[in-house]
Amino acid sequence: MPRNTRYVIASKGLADGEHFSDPGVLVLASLADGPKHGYAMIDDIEQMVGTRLGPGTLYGAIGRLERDELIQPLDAQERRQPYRITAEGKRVLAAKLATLRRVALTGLKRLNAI
Amino acid sequence: MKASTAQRLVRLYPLRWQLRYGDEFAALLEDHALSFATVVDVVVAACAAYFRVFDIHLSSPRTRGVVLWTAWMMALAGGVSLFETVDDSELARMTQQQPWPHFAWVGLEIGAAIAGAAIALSTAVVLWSMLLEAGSSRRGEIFARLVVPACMGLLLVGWVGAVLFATRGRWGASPWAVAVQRPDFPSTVVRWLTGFVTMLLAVSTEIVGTMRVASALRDSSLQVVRLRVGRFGIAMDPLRIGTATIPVLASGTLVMFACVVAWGFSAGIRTAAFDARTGAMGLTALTSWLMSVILIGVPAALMIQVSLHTTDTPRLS
Repeated sequence: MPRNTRYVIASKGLADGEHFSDPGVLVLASLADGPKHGYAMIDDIEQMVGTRLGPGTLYGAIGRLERDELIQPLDAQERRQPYRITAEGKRVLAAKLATLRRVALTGLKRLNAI
Repeated sequence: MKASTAQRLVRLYPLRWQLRYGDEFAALLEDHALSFATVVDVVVAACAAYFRVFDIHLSSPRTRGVVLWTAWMMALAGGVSLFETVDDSELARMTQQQPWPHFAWVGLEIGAAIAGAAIALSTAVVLWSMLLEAGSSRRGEIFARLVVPACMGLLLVGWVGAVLFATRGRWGASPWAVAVQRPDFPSTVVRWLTGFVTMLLAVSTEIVGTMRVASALRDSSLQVVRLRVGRFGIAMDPLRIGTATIPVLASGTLVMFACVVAWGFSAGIRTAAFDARTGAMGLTALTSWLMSVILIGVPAALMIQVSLHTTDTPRLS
């Protein structure tokens, strides 16, 4: 099967029904520039999209992403646990963002055409 | 928030989740102020964590069998409860006379027949396999687990028979009829006492039956059952038959759920049967109907969940 965007999204990555604004994508995007622990991710995501994730929501996403091997834990700093994005995580994130860009460009083009 | 509050919230999660993420999650919670939004967020996420654990466990055919058996016993309790509430009451006459309640009731019976046939087929093969294993491998503990619910069922039947005998066939110790006053029924105290004992025995039999059969199912190897009639031989694989009947069982239970809801709404809206003062049965029947909706609705949801996870063809272990 060709490794196109649809394949990447369908075969691996975020849970069924998850969309681009969902916590999994936001966590991956937050970790794209380096490892972070939970609280730093919440702050980073708030700066990125203006939404502050709840701790339960964040760890729900972390659990799914770790299970799917899209992120992995690093050595703990006291009780804070940093995570980093894996190569597979980067590939899934890139595929999702490429689709998101197409959706955004198409939507904007159609809005401007009205 | 305080460390103790954070620990309490962490304990809402499944144990496996707590062992993996508990400490770091508690540290994160301690950095948050205690607010209603945070608590709701954690509670919802904890519920979702249980569903994910449930998803993982459903990959095992035996676990699916245990979940389906438990769900079916719940649905059965809901169906029996509704039937006993309606049977021989004003609601039965209303159901026969009014078209919509009548259609819904017929649909409920069809759904129950479909689901019942599916569970009967798979249960017969699974029980047969377990009894053969108990006999051939001298595994007495499997036999013991299956005998206890059967004995309790016999005790229940014996109790109802004894009450019927003592009252010369006038009173069957039905918990659903304790509030009904008829000249040929025994006194209120006798009705309530005997009805309570019947309810106690029925609930115990249901719970023990569910737990014992589920436990035997988990520990059995579920070998293929071979039946030979003359020159012809049939090999029945309990896991394959069980897996094949899951969609039928789920569909039947879903039909039951839809029809129980439709029956209640058509009875309540079109005939005001549940009205406390003027209805056929009043609040007692409404409570019983609501209980049946839950007891059939939850199993229907569980069975659909299991059905959606059953894409593999199980092999013998």
